[in-house]
Amino acid sequence: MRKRLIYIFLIIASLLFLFPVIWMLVTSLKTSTEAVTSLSFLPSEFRFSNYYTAWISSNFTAQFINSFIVASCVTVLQVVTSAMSGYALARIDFKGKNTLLMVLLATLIIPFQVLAVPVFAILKNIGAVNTYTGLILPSAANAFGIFLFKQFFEKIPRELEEAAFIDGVSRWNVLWKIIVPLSGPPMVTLAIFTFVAEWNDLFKPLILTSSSDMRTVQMGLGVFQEQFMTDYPLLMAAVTFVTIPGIVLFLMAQKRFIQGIAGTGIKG
Amino acid sequence: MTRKKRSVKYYKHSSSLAAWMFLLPAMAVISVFVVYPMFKVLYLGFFKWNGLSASMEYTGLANYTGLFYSSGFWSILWNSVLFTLLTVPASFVLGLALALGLWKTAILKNVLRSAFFVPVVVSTVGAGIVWVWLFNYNSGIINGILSLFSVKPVNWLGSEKLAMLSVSVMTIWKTAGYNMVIFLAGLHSIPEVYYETCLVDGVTGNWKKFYYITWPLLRPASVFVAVTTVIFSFRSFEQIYAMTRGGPVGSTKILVYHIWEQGFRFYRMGYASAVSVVLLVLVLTVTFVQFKLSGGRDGA
Repeated sequence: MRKRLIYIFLIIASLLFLFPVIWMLVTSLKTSTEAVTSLSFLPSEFRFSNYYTAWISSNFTAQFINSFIVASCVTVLQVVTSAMSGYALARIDFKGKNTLLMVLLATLIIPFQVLAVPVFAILKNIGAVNTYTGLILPSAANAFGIFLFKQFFEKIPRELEEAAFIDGVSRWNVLWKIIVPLSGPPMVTLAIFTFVAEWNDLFKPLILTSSSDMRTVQMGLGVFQEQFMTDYPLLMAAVTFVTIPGIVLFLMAQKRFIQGIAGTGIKG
Repeated sequence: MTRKKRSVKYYKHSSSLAAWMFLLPAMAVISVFVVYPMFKVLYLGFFKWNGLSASMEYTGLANYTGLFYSSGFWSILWNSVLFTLLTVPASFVLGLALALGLWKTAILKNVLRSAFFVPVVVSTVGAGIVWVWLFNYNSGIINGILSLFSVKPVNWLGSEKLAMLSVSVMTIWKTAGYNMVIFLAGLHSIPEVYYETCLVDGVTGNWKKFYYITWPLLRPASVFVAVTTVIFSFRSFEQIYAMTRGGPVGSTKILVYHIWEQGFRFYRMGYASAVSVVLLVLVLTVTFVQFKLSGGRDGA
């Protein structure tokens, strides 16, 4: 009986949680008149053309390309820099290691938003405002990824490397030829995490770009909202195609995604 | 044989240098874009700068006295605290409730967990726009459903009294799934043995089990959720940007929105830096207090 009540509670709660997303999809297929005049769940006719209209009404093609370039570069760089640092912290004893770990932990607490003005000033000094470099560099490394790799590497038996060292293989080659090929799980987790976070980010591109050529999808969505304030079906269609990459990536790799989050909470 | 010896020795001697070579790329980025900006923001707070010109004017403590004596700043600070109070406990409790519900269920577990997690991966701007539509005064579904119970339409986002609550509801919806995942991992790490011994000790009933076993053992997860949710609420910006733009009449203007508006719309970078310093101090203090209250750093 108790079990059944829990199930009923969970199912109702999950429907409530999904409702905004479902209502977004349903609205995106209605006509603008129907959306504001009727509360019927399903559209009287499915207007798939809303997606096309929304796409061409703004510069979404260029914005998708911008977001894709930035998110991909940040992802690749973060995986590489995190794997290297994670390896050093997991395997090599050196002076100042504990201090470094504390500093890295502290950087996790400090929100990027607090550093917006100085980061803008730094990038302005090197002429990187309104460039891909400016959007990519500040996110090219992150303590979260470093800790993720460090934890994973610590679980790999040392014997694997020691044999290679005795054969005279350098640490650099040990990392890339022996350790990294075994590190699929943290790599996939970090890659998906980083890509989705970059794709969804508004604040960073908003402060670091001003020209419309550099607009990312989330900025584009904000501009689209101002232009089509009351045309809810078009707005919902735009939100849908901007949101889909994140949702698809999550559904494709939900296990990794969820393990990644869970791992940081308990062990990180 | 000699080769073996030499190589082992070599790695011992060069280990410090090797470590820093591996750390170099990440540390360069983190130093330039996190550590250095922390000091730079303190420095910029003493200047008047429009963010465009090359010159800055030293103004001493003017930015700080300016915000101290402005009533606008105090109401923004209060809004941030209110937003935290409205979102953090609710998101914590909801995340815990969902995790406890899912914990021992077998059927549909993954499907339900994914459903609760979907809001986390939707972009905050996109989700904000969707909620603007749900909260719409004339044709939004929330007022539509209320009208079936003959409740008059509610001005969710347009009224000074309700806007903050409405933005908070959206934020709770967006963050609870994340907390649920942390709590679930915490629950699954509790060894079954503890519950078996409590049968022997005569501790029965679900509430007692929760109070004596689950809650104390869940502490690392609870501390982590508390800390991250508070930090998340202090850095919130996107939902405000998409849903209210700080309005109506500044009732949803919170610190990060203020930083963005002052610095990047009104080009008062020095003043925005001073506000950033206040936020930085706030985040560090609250995190420190949370760790102290929870008895050390075991949750980190």
